Amino acid sequence: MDRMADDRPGRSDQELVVSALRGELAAFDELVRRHQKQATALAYRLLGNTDDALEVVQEAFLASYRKLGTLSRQERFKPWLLRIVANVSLNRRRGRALRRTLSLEAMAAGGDQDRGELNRPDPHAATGEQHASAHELRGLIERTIDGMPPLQAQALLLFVRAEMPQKEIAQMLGCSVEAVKWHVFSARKKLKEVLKDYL
Amino acid sequence: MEILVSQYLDGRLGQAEASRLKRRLAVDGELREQLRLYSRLDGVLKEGYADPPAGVDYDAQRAEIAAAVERSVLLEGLARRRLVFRPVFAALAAAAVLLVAASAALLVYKPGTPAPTGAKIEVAVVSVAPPAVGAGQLTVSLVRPAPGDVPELVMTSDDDLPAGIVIASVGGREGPPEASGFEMFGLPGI
Repeated sequence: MDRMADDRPGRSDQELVVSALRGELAAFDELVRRHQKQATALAYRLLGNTDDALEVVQEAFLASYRKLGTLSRQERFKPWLLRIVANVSLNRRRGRALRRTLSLEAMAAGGDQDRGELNRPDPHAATGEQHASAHELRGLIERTIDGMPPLQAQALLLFVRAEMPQKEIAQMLGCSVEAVKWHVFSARKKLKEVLKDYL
Repeated sequence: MEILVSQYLDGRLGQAEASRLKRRLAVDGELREQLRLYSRLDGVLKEGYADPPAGVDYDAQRAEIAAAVERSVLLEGLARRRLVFRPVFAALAAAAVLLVAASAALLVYKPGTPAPTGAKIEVAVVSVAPPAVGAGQLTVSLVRPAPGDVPELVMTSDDDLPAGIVIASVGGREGPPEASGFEMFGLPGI
């Protein structure tokens, strides 16, 4: 690990990227140290699960290392990395939602149709509580988001949870800013309908 | 109207539009309810996600990422080396195979050497047409006559042999005799 030796503090992201491109692993390690918390927080917001978030962050850093040579503006490492994190997270989330749908279909096919309602909590449950538990509500939110068309779900997550600027979201999703606004609104409207008893 | 409420919450309405909406909100209870719902919805969506996840060991995470990067570097290096050496090894292997094949051919192939006598085989004669060429003999050729092979296979077909069975002595290389005038089948070892 000789190449890990030089991790001088105070170097800019751009300098670290240049050094990492020359094969200095310590420079890349410093980039990881600098941005891992934010990357993990973003992945967590988009996935809602710590284990998934940690895996995604590792995958994203590895992908960024492999693609480092394609980064034209090296001073923009952080937004570039966060974009990779967002992309990998959204892909993971899509895969997860698909698996969940398939398993629900399998359950429904097996005659267990009660669970086909996505375990929707009863807001007026027999416990007498007015609202379902935070855990149930969270589950309902996640499943409703996963049931949305992908662009709607992604625009909502990136804008509301990840607090990304709409312009950046538009670039990520390959659509116009107006389309992002519309997707966010449509997604919010859908969620409002589903959750109106809990809001 | 709902979309205006949504954009108002995001702070994306112009000053004039925002003022208009505020005036409307002051007199429209249903619109105020929409504003409350959308505002609460965003709160619920962000609830529990504002902070980074608790209990994460960032040093361990960094170590895992560093290990993954190192593995990737190593694998990439190996792959590159494999790419560089693959053609060289392929060429060397091909040359070696050619050399061995050429040596074997020289050892085995000796022009003018009489062909060894083959084993006796049984040949089932299904039909004989046209009749035998010459007195008491049938002549057939080998499919792939080669130097050293007996070019013609002489088959005994005397009238005394049991009907349908011919004993044939095949000299030289193995290979199915090409029937001339009669069919043969099911010949083990041919």
